[in-house]
Amino acid sequence: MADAKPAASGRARRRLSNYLLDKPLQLRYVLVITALSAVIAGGFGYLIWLQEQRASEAVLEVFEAPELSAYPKDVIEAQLSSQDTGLAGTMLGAGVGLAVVLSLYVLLMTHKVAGPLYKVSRYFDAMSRGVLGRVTPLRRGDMLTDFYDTFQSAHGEVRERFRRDNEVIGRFLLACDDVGDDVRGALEDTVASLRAHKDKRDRDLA
Amino acid sequence: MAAAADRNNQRRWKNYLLNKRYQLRFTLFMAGLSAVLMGLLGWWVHTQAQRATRIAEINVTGGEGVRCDDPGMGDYYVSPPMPGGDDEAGADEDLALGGFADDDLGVDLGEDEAGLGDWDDEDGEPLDWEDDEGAGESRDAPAVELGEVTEQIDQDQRDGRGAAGGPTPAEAQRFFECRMEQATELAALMAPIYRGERTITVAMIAVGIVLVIGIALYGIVMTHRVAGPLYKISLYLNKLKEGRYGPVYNLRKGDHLVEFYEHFKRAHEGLRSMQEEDLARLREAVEAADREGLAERSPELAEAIEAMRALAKEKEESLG
Repeated sequence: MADAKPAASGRARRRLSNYLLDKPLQLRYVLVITALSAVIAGGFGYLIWLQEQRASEAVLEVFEAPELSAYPKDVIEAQLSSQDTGLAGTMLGAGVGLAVVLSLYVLLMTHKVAGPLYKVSRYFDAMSRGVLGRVTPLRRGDMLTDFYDTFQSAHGEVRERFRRDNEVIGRFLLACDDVGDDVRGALEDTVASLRAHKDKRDRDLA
Repeated sequence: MAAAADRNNQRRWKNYLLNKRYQLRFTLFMAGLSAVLMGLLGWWVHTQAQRATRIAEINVTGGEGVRCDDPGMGDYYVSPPMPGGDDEAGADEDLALGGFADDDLGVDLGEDEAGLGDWDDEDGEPLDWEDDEGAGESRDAPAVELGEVTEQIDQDQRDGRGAAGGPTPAEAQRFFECRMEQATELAALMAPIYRGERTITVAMIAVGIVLVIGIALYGIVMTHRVAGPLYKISLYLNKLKEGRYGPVYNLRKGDHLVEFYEHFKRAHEGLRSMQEEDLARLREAVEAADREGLAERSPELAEAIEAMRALAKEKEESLG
């Protein structure tokens, strides 16, 4: 996954430079689709070119007849050859154009899958550090919305549970504060450690 | 956290559509796109192949080597049989050529430049497979046997109805044989062209069908390898939602999103660590409180200690 700054304002804008978010995933699709279309377009192109050449040969064969020897066969041959070459050029151009357009389209499509994955992986990284901040929605047009909803819901629930757990600890600390100095003295280290833990957790859940 | 153990489930066909919305959307898009592209490409290929065939056809029929002198067949229409039949010639209708012209086909043959415009018969008319009077009718004209024609000529001559200078049965026979030779030559010249056109059409349809089916299958298999890990992660996320932090297993061989899954595993491990840390703190505090008899100091403290004890138990269970 590419390194990019987290979406500070929630919804991040798409940028051309960020379109390859998950190179292995996206390039795999792009290469397969492009190669497939290139092979098919190439195969058909070859068949057309073959047909055109056969037609040209059939025309030229006609001029082999003795009574047509007066006709400028070389001129006709050059013209037919030029037409065949022109057709091959057109087909090559169309094939390359097709491959480029397909590649761009597949890149765009896979980006709409890679985008949410990239975003979720950043939240996962934060969770691995014990940070459970707020989760922002996906960008318009992104795919995997069902998966993202599941993630968002689970993240929210886990976050809420840790917050409730912290409240239980908070109530204990408050009760300890209320009973007097002798209690605090007996449990001084434990209480201090628990308080520091609660404060850190509160920050992580903010 | 427990080490991620191998617990690989086997792939099954019925489970291939794990995330219908994503998988079908992607697959239908790919299959639809390829169908549209194949359709457009096929139309273009077909047009080009037809054009090439027509060009060859026009030039071949206009300049065949064998020439047949019409003995004045007039109304005696002779339909030369097509040598080799439909399969060999490629198209019987196309062989009964009825005056193909540039305008009809929308093809610029460049006749003037190539000097092809003078391919006429003796009467200055473009060469056709029909008699002058019968031009353009051959497609619909019923096939007439040579024997019937020569019989008719004989009968007419006997009845004195034969036109002056009309064909004799022998001339009709020669004309018929000449037309046979023309047809044979044309069939030989045009057969590879027709075969090529047919091959292109058949290949186009076959490849189109195979392509659409292949891409659809490939799409489902490929997207399954993406949807599989997502499905697995979704199951774990639902467990997390329920407060269950049990062990996480590895992906199956061949699954995609391996790196993404590693991110998830680290996140899961982080949450587990948080639970374990909470549990350690809670246990420590509850043990210290019990040791000091804090529960007896105030009802609020007793309630708070019990809540912490319950929470510690809950967290312990959640770790599996």
